[in-house]
Amino acid sequence: MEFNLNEFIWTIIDFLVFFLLLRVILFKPILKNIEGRRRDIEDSLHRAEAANKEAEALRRDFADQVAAARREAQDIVARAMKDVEETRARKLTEVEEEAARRLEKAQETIRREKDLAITELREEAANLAILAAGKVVERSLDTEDHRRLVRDFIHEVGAKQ
Amino acid sequence: MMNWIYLASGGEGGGQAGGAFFSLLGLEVTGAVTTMWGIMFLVLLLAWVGTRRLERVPRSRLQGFLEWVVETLVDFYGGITGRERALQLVPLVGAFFIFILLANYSGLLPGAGHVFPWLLAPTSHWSVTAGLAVVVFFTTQYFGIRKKGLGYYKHMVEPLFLSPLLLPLGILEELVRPFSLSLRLYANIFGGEMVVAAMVAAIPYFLPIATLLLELIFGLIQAIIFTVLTSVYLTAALSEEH
Repeated sequence: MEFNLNEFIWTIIDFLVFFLLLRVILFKPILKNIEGRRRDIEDSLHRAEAANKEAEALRRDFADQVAAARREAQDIVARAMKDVEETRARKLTEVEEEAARRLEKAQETIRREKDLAITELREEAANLAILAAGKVVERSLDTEDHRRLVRDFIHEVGAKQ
Repeated sequence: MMNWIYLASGGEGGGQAGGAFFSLLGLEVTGAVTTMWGIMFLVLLLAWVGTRRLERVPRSRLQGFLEWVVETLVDFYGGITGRERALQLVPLVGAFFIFILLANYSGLLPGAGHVFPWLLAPTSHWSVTAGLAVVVFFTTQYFGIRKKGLGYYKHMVEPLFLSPLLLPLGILEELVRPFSLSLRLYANIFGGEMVVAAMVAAIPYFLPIATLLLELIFGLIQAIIFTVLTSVYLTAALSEEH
């Protein structure tokens, strides 16, 4: 085991030169690059996390808006249905009232027509009766008194019927 | 594998082959030194090419590979010291790991040592592992003093009435660390090469494949042990309690 002082000194010089150059050429730039990349990745992760949170907040906000819009739509539909129902009921009532009014009017007309017809019929019957009685008694019954008598008679008959 | 055959035939221990090739700045350049230069050149070239045009998301395979290496180192040492501390220590500890791992493996290359005397496992030389351990020692002292000032050495003199006993023990503890670091690495790599060489000499067929795989594992384990201990020493120096 011999000790060579020249090799010893050369080793110290060589290694120090090697270390200093390698530090400048290799380690510093590579470590800077690695740490920079690590920071980039961390920044990206933080940004992604923030974006994720923002997206989540937007999603929640959107869901709230959709729920609100759905509630509003349901309210509108309910209101519309109620309006329709009310309108329908009102119209139905109006139609029923109109129908009743028309029916009453028609009944009134019918009743009037009937009364008129009965009156005309009585008139005609009185005329016929007078004519017939005249023929029987050969005497004219066209005076107003005769007519009244016949009419009263027919009324009595009609009342008994 | 040639260096094993060379060793088995009576050559000097792994990497002892060949003396100084030339002198530079008054210092002899040996095979261990040229191998360290080769390792440094290749790693730095790879790092430079791979990080020339860094992209936030790696598209080139080389950048992906380099990021994988660095992240693996951060994760591994982060498991021992905590991620924040690992980010601080990984340039130094990672440089140790890459350097020692490739130094351990360089002796496994074909022709290392005998055919190519300028290529051998530098960590099979105690002078090299001692140099690395001395760097660890002084770095630990530097971090400790920078963090706590001279209070870093307070534990050596507290309680005060025991300081005559504790101070030499504390100094010894600090000095033993680089010794144990350097000797462990050197002895394992050198011893491993010797064992492999002896086995190759005894049974030249098939066995070298298994021993090569074992050496790959041992080289990795030794690099891990050296750097884990280094990170523990540095973390202790940087922690509030010491």
